[in-house]
Amino acid sequence: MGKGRGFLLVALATLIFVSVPLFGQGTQRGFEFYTQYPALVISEGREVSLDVKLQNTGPIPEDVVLSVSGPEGWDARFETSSYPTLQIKSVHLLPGQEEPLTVRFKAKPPEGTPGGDYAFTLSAATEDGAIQHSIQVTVTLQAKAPQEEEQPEEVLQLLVDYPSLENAAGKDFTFTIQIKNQTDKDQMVELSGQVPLGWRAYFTPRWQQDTRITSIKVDAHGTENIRFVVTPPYMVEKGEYPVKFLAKAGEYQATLDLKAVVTGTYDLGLLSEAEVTGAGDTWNIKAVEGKERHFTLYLHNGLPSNPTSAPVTNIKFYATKPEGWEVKFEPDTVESLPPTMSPNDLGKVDVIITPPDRAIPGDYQITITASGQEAHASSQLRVTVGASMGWGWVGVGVVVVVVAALTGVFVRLGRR
Amino acid sequence: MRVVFWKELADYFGSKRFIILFFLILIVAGTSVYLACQSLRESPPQDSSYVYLRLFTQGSGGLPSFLSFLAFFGPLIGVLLGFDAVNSEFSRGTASRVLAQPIYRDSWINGKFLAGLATLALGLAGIILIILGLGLYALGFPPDGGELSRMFVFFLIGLVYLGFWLALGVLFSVVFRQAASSALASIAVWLFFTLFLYMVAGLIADQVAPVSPNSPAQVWAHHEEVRDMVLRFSPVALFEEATSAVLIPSYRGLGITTLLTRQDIPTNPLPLGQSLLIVWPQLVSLIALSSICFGISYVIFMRREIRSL
Repeated sequence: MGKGRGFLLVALATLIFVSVPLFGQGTQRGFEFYTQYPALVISEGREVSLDVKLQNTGPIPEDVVLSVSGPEGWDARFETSSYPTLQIKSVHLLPGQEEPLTVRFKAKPPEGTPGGDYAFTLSAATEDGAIQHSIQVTVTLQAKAPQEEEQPEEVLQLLVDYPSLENAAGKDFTFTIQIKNQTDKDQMVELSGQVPLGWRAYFTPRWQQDTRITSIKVDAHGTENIRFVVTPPYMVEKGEYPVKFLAKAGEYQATLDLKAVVTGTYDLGLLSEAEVTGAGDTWNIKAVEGKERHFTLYLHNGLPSNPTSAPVTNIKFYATKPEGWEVKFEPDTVESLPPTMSPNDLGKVDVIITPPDRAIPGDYQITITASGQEAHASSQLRVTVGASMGWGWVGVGVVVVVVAALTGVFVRLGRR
Repeated sequence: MRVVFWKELADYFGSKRFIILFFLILIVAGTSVYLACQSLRESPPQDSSYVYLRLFTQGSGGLPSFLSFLAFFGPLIGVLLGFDAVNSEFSRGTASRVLAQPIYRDSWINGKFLAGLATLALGLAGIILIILGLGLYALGFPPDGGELSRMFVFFLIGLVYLGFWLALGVLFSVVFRQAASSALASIAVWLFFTLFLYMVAGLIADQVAPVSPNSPAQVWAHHEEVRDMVLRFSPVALFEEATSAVLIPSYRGLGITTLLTRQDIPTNPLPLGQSLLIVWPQLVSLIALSSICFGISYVIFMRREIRSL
């Protein structure tokens, strides 16, 4: 314990002077009773603690009774200066001591005491009442200073390393928040979050991610890390969304402003007619050389089972094709493809494939690529080219004619 | 001579040999087209130009292409028609009777040779047309002018090649009195040129320009050259080289080592004229060989004393 925290600003109060020489103790009874700081300042809610000195100047030991008088309600008392402190009523002073004895005067203002000066009279008297001394002590009580007000209010401190996260709609935004307990007591902290309508939010401890919690105990002067997981719905527009984190300990509430930057999600995909309607062309089609072949290509942006949030715009089509082939898309650009929620949202493109006139019958591969501003997709189409029957019959005709001609020659010339 | 020609032609077509030849044509043409189409269908080439020519040159699954089939068995057909052309007439005793007619002696042998050549031409044309027809059926598009002209040139070269073997058969039929020995001699020559010369060429090349696996490219090229030089004594090799140039438009008549060491040579198809220029020596040699063969038999026949037995 220090010797009083307040600064000594006021002039020294009067000391009752004892007219006994310092080393003349052999002749007359007497003792000294004084304090170094007779006027002090305390702030509201704190306690007065003042060292008071006693020294025997006489030839014999003295029992000195201590008493105090002061304002009503103050818990004024004397205590020993050594630890542990004990309340005392009297002290026994031995003669011939070089160092004075120190006792501690303590006074605690009652709750709600207004600021101001309070006077205390500390009295010390020998048991027989022969010698009496008293000290006037003035205590100035200060109303709550602003910096001292804050400390008890800041029960919790919230820290976050990444207050702004970016992710796609429908994905988790995970904020890792540090909760610091700044009090001497363990705190049960209730967790809550303020998120835009329709968003999901939950809390987990940092290392147990499948345990969802609503409150957490933070030890005195301890720190706990929690994960604050926010999930915007798939359909949310892209943009910045404020998210508020609230931690409540008793009546104290701390908030933390966070930001979720939602980017759109896209997932462009290609489907064949058979995949959409269950009938029609698969990714394996037949074509005839030199003839146009129409293939209906369906585009989807996500699927109802895996929804997306933003449209894919400006989709253009390309085809990697064997030499001499012609692949046209009708239309060749899709301006915007909204997220696919139902079969009606599918984009429909007519692909016109023309194998060259001189395509050798067999299997060919065409890679169709749809490339939008945000996403692209490609799929492989297998085209089996069959020979056109027109020329096929000509070929058969040639063979028949040749065989017939050889037979004719044989028959004609064979007869002699 | 025309009379002899038609008589002989009728003789060829009326014989059982022609039936054998006829079925041989059908089978060869059918299988070669089928195999070629099969391999084309499995891996359609990116570039469909000159696809018809591939029908002649593309083998499949270890089976030879039509081209190598013709190179190997074409001689048999030619020899078959020629080996007893003259000596059978002697052995049957009809030679003096025919020559007693008011015809020139050379007309007789010319007519025989031309009739044989006509038969072969008809057969070869038949094969090519059947391949063309089956190709039309399988591919579904007609050949273009380049392909048709190359096929025609191929037909001519094939005819010259078959003509050489016919001339050889006629030569042996003039030289040997017995048809059997003529046939045996013809077959011996055929085997020598189609099989043994390839071994001999390898042996000679090994002796003249020995190579080891780590020899430089020049040594390999020299080895290759020597081997090719020896092989060019064989009309079979000449025919293969000549038709390669015609049927494979990108063929440049270069050995494999040259292609390996000179990578700046392009592989685009050449025009027909250029292709022919590359193999002009081979073509001339083939024509010369045929002419010489026939010339010798002609001279021998003309100087022969013909008596009725």
